[in-house]
Amino acid sequence: MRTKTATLIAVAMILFAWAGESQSRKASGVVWVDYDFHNIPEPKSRDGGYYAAFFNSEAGERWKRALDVPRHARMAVGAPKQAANVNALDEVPDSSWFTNRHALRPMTIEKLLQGPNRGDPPDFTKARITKAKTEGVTPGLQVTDSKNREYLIKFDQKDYPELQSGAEVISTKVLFAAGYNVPENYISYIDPEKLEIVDGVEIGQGKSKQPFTREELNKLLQKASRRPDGRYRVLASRILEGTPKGPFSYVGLRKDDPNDLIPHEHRRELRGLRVIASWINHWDVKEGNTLDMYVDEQGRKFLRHYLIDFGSSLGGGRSPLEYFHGREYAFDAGTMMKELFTLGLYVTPDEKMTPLIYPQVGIFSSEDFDPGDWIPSFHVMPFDNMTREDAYWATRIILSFTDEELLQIVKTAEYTDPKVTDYVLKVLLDRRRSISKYWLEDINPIGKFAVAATSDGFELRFDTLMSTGDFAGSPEYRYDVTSSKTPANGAGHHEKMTAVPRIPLGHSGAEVRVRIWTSRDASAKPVTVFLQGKSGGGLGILRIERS
Amino acid sequence: MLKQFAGTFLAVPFALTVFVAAAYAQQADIPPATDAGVAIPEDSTSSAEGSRIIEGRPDLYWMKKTLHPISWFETMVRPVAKVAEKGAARFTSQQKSTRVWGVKLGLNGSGTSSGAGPEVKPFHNNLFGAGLQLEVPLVVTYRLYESYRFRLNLPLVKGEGEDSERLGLELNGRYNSRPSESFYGIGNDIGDWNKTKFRSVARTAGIALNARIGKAWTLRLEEGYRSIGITSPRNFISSQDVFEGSDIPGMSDAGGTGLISTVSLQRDTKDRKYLASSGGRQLVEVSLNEGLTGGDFSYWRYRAGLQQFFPLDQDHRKVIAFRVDVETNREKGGSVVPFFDLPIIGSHSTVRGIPSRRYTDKSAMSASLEYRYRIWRHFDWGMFVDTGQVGPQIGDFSLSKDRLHTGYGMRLMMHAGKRAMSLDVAHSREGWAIYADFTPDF
Repeated sequence: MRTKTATLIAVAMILFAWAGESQSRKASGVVWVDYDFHNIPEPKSRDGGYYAAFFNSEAGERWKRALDVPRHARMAVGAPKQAANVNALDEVPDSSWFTNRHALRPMTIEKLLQGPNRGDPPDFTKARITKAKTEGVTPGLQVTDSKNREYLIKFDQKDYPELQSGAEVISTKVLFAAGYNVPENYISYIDPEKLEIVDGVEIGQGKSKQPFTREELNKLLQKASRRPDGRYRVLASRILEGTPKGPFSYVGLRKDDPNDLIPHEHRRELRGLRVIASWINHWDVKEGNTLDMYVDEQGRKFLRHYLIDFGSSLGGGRSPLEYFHGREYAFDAGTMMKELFTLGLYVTPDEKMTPLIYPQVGIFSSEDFDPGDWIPSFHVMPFDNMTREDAYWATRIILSFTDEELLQIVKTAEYTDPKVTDYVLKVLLDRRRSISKYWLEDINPIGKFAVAATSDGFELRFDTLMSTGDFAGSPEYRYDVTSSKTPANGAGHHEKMTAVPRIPLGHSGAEVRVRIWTSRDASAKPVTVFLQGKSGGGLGILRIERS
Repeated sequence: MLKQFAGTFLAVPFALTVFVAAAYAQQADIPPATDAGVAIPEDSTSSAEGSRIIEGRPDLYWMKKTLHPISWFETMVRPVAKVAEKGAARFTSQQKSTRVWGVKLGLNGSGTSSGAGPEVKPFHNNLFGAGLQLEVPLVVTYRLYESYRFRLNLPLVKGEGEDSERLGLELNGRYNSRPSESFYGIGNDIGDWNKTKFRSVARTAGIALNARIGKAWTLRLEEGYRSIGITSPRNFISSQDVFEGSDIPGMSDAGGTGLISTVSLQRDTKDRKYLASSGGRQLVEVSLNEGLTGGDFSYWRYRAGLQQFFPLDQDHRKVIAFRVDVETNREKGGSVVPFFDLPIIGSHSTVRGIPSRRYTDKSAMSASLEYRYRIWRHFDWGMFVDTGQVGPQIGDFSLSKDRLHTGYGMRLMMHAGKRAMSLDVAHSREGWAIYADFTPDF
């Protein structure tokens, strides 16, 4: 009886929990800044904890999701929950999480190459080690340079020169241009003789702590890739400004941050990160590789949310020959079951081998890349929540880079072999092409709407990502225009075709609705653009609907 | 009444759920905007304090987070995970530590059917600055089996590289309390109706010389002293009460003392100590037990063991593992082999699925065949069949189905670095058994 009662209570709690969430009312108007920069009291540091985060992402949230009947209902009727932080134009406003950059505010090549870096690169002609970490996936040192600036430096592995540092720098530039907050990351060169160890630096944990000595440093350097001139190439990551407050969670809200109103699993920039991460194969996009910093900017103290540590992207990682990254979860119950019930005959990505392409790029490739099947090593709930609309948004971002811009970004990795630069660029372009084909296939990929005045009134201009990216040639467009001048009986209202992405609006009324289909995919939903007359004359875009 | 209550209790939330689902299905509508401006500000943080894209946190969002039973479960798991993480970090740090002395903490057992418990292991790798290595593993299991050992090793000749010791002198000692050991009687066909138990407490001290020959061979010579006491278990039928007056050797004695001289030769080519995937181990051992006080327990013991691992693919994801162990004891003169020293069938290392210490006699053999395959980077799955028998002499062994005791089952093996653990579920015609092994050398 007790069991029965407990079960009933549990079921009831789940049902209430389903019912318990509803969307807050959205602000009216086209919001371009979601102003979450308000002063807040200093939050406590959030201790993510690897095990707890692992359990949360691999079990807790997944079980909840599996039991989420309303979600299944929404999926069944083809109406998945859309991102909560998109404005009326289906864009993500700027916030402490994301800043619209290259896709909406095209950056110059100089700005792209500069990325998040501010000021001069580090100067390690005289450097002091203030902290050391010799264990873990990436051993590193905290170092103060000759100008007293603090950096975390990481060495490339002995057998994989330039791999992690190159990957980290390229990915930093890409993610920054995409709009994310990332640390300043530099490639630098260090002469070990110039490294001084500050008194009191220790390694190990608990009672195993011991002083970090020159001998320990030499042991660490023995595992690192050394250049012919005796120096070591390092990735120097500038310590972020502010006070670290632990990683952010990919699910839920941070209780002690009053600015945090949007559940993280429903933030578009985190959902769309899946597409961008798949492009650069940033499989290690776990909670532990995020960081909240309590910053003081222009007199306001708030949390800024960072992505950190991209050393495992672009083929990098502790074991660059491991094929399963991006193809299998670190703990993949599905694969385990397949192995179990086929007596080990099922061939998993974990047991596949592929030849090393270059030591500088591991096995980063495009031939066997499937954008739909790409997965990070740990479940990331916003990735699982990603809709076609989120994917379109992210695809548009990666298509905002020109080939030349990408080449220049890859060159910042300072690969000594030009063939490596060419190879990385080629793979990035190929993977981008695969991503675009995959994610734009089932969506009406038109965007960049603008209203222009013509001699006949106004026209709505737009672009299609498919033809921009040269993926499917120029399509034809079917459209209809409804305005406040359209008679109520619909007379004169009919669909038209055009081969050019321009729709005449004439001298339409104060309110206009334009629906546009792309003939390439007749089943794709139309994009609906709502326009309204401006007080000073002309037409302005009110909102855009893609679903 | 309960049904009505449950019906109402579930119907209301269900209706609510359907309503919310329907609302969500329509929520793709983006609210109409009133501002026709689409200009993007150049710098978001420097702009005047603006509005939010939503007015507040989702209504009742906390309910989703706090009322969900899985959230409660997560809340319970979080502190455990933190402790586990700290423990794992500490353990890893210990493993990598180059500290000369300290205390290691772990989990271990104390032999067949002992259960598991915490292990505290003080150690010193350079005692008195003379290169002496001391370790003192102390284990108490949840079944109150106790094992307190010490091992002091003096490397006499060293070679190059890791595990470089070529010749070493070892002093060792152990206190081993086993409060509940099963005894059914002697023989391969003995029934289970007279299951009894006894408690043994053994204290041993020994001196040994270990010589490594080449990479794989080890010769060990040991001289030891043992004192063993046999008493009644706390909560079960006593073996000594039931078998009193029988001719089972040692049953009328309360133990005894004796000297044990052992010589063993081992060849070990396993690729790793625990859960090997290639190579093998061959062992032959002869020991002479000479009783000093108590019963007249003087006898020769001969043991041979073979483990072999056959990888079926290049990266050793699929492995056939085979093991066979044989032991026989021969009385010296008119002496006897006491019942508590007889080899057994019915344990994790003999025949799995057979109750603990189910069959015993002066000779015993057991064999295992396993197919192991990788199901995850750190997990292997195995299917095994074990068989074994006991008899007065090796010549009494037979491949006859009637004489073989067989168990079969499945095995989950976990390994990470030098650490390993296995969890076995086995079945035989005598029932089911589950085993956890923290040092699975097969």
